Amino acid sequence: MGLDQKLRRHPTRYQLVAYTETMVDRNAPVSAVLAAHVAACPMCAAEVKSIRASLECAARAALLEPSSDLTAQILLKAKSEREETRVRRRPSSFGVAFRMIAFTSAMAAVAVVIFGAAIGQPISMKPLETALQQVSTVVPSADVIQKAAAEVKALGAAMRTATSKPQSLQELEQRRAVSAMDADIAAAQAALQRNPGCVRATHIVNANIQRQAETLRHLYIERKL
Amino acid sequence: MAEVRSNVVPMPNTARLRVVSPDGLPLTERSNEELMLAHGQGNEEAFVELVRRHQKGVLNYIYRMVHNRHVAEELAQEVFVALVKNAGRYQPTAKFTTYLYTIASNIVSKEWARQKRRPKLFSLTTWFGKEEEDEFDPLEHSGDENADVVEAFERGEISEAVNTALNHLPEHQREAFVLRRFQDISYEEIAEILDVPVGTVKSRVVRAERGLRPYLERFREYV
Repeated sequence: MGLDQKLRRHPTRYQLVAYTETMVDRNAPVSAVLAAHVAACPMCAAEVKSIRASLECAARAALLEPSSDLTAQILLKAKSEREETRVRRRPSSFGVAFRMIAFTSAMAAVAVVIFGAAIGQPISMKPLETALQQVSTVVPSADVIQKAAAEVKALGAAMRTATSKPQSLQELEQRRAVSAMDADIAAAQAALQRNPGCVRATHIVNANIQRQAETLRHLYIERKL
Repeated sequence: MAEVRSNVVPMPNTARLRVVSPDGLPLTERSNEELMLAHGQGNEEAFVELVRRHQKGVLNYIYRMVHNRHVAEELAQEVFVALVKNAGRYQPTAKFTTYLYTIASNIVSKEWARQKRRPKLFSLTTWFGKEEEDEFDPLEHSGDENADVVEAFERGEISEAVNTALNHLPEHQREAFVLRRFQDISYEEIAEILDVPVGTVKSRVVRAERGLRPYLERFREYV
């Protein structure tokens, strides 16, 4: 029932509270219909009086004043929260691209070592070390890559001591496959130079390096064991 | 131009400067929603203005909910920190006060849950009555020429009685009543804040009033 409809029975308790609120707050419109009913009905008038006493008591309750340093405390906490948010956001924007480039260059350096080891050419470890230094600052799995690179380096050294001539047709095919993968890696690297952080090129480099590593492991096992 | 210059009065060193936003409108004249958006874009002065406007309201709301000044101040800080955390995601789809008190309400609910989990230990403040510092001390106001000590005393007594009475209400009724009567928030807004229908809010306020009545009966003569 709306406040301005004609009342056929006593108003609900909510209506009386709403009506009393208008009296206490003195800023809301008073329902004339309800006012007429309350004026004529002693029961509702008594109820309104009680409600009014409660509401006015509540309105007279003193407000708690903030302590003198509350504003300073809030601003201090807000400042530290902003700093934390900045730190949390930093790697998500610029860091992703940088991480991708660093990871890709590290993978490419590992590929050069593997391929060089396979064909018996001396390898310069400087680019690999530089790349791994970059990776160690941003990529959490730098240790794993470093271990794999060290393992590949040892395998390459062991392979170089043996004769460079293929000992079987299968070995020849495996060497050709490694060369083909190296060409793919070079193409992907060129794409990465044009478009740094390219996800597809990064995947190609990564996948080819993994396959090269696997192939070299087979070669080593077949030769030595 | 020369005429204009001649009218310029040099500003004394002690004059207070108004904080003005980049678009030239003083921050004090901007709406809460505009301030929050500006804060989301990195304007820290806008946040300071929001704190200035709402800290007392938020503190009093929380205080009426938890009945402890220290806890209330801690939670009020949490509310404003939450504003900072969510500043970038803020969309002015509702009134800012709805947004602010929704955060405050959530934080209060968590505090209630924490209090329920916490083991109840013997407390000296419970044994001796209320915490002294939370009480309204009329003597603090006696030095003020404009203050009426008797009125201050009555006011303090009423405040204490209201707080005690609120403490006896169920939490959901207390929350609706405090938002309506102390924070002056509309029923529709309270419904959004508490995520309940408007009818439920009205019913809670009515029940809360009925619950408070016996505790406030003796103060009828004051009002």
